[in-house]
Amino acid sequence: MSKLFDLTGKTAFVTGAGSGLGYAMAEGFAEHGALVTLADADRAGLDRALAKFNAAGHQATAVELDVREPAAIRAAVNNAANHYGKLDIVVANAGITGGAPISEEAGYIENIDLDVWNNVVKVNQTGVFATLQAAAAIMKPQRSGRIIVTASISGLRTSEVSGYPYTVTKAAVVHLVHLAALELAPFNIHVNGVAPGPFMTNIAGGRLFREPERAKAMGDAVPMKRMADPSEIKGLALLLASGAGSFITGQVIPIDGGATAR
Amino acid sequence: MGRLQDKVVIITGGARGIGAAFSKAVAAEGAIVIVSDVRDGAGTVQEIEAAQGRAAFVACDVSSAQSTTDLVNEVVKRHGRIDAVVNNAAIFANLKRQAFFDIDEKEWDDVMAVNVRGPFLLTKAVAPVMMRQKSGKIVNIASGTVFKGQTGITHYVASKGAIVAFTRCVARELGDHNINVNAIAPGLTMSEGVIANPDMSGGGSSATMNSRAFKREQKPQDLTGTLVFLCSSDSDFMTGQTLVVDGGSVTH
Repeated sequence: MSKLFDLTGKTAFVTGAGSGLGYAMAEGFAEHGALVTLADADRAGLDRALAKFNAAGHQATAVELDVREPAAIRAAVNNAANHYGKLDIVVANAGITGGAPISEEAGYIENIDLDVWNNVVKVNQTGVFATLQAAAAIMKPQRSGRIIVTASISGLRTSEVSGYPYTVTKAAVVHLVHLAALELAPFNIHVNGVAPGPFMTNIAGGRLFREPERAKAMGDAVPMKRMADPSEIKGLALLLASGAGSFITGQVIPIDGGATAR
Repeated sequence: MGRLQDKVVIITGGARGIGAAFSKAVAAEGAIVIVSDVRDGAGTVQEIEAAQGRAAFVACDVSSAQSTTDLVNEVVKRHGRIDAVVNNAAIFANLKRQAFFDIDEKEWDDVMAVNVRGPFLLTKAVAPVMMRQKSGKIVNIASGTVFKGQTGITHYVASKGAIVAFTRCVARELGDHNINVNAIAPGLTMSEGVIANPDMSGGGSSATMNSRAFKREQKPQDLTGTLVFLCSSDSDFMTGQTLVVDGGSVTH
């Protein structure tokens, strides 16, 4: 078997790793040999994630982290790098929804609460930027690294079911990927994004699980006519984190059952 | 176990260059590779077998409906199924750079016949097989030049633009059948054909290199990871996409 996708001895730091896509990406890395640091603001989720890792025999450490606190991000990333002696992969995945879609009155532009807007910007935009800052500070002197940002197809195109705070912050990180890829390439650092479509995650407080008819409608709206399981993100993250993606940088890749077909 | 263990994969244009690299890479992941080409693909097959891989050569001219149908029938006869088709065969490396108004009609048509009609015909031939299976992976090879409006090889760039569009359309049509259709858009890749043609590997290639975030030459091996990913179950929720693998030259 080839070593294209092997991560043996690599170290990874994943934000939002307590559940959903972040957990799946971290697990995928571990299954391919990486030593993973799981970061999440949700202590209970983090404990559950760590228990699953331990049960599967994967090496991991966990750190409670609110990405609205840049100093805490820097400390957590530095600790992970010090603990393992290097940091090969950083995933800026932590994100939240916020704000109703423009098709609902609560989502009209004049009705968006600025506190909601600011909070989403803090997590989805500033939190991602600060995570990349911390990653770059470690990876530049290493002269190697892989950075993956969780964007969204909402950041690539808008629709009536988009809400302002989420859509606009996800669009911002798409451009962040492009720009950081340019700056960091001379340091042999790859910067890419994943743009998920409909995945069954706990986003919006688990709404997709509470409202199965909503989930079904979202799945039916894409060419593959289904929602994705979070584990289906593993392969794409692995491509971008491993030797298999040696010449890919500056890309934001949709994984959406064909929703964007772009 | 490889990532493509026992999968039956057809690779067109597999005799040399990127297609040969693709053939060897999927074989290394456990696939049964059908190396297909208008050229003799025995060399690729021998290399795969020498590395304990499984491969066979089946000749095919992708611009011919008869030939693509024969290819599909032959593979189904031998293996009973087709898990992935890589539409890689294309006219590129032998082209000379010229202004678009100097391209003669015959050369334009030849490029379109192989680069556009070819993937259309082979995808059309294999679709019923994959629909019966309720599974399949189609991987088309586009080009980063589409997003740059690269001059000098306008027929080629236009043909690859058609492949990006074709990929999107067919993905939408075949999604219901659990068939994934995606494309890879490489940058200028130093295959033996490109190296042999100074019009391709000369001054223009260093300009291409300098347009990249990673300022180095692109090798066929830089594409194999993405190809394996798109042929494997790892990409089951991805369809209609064109993945740019070009060292960060195009960010679209």
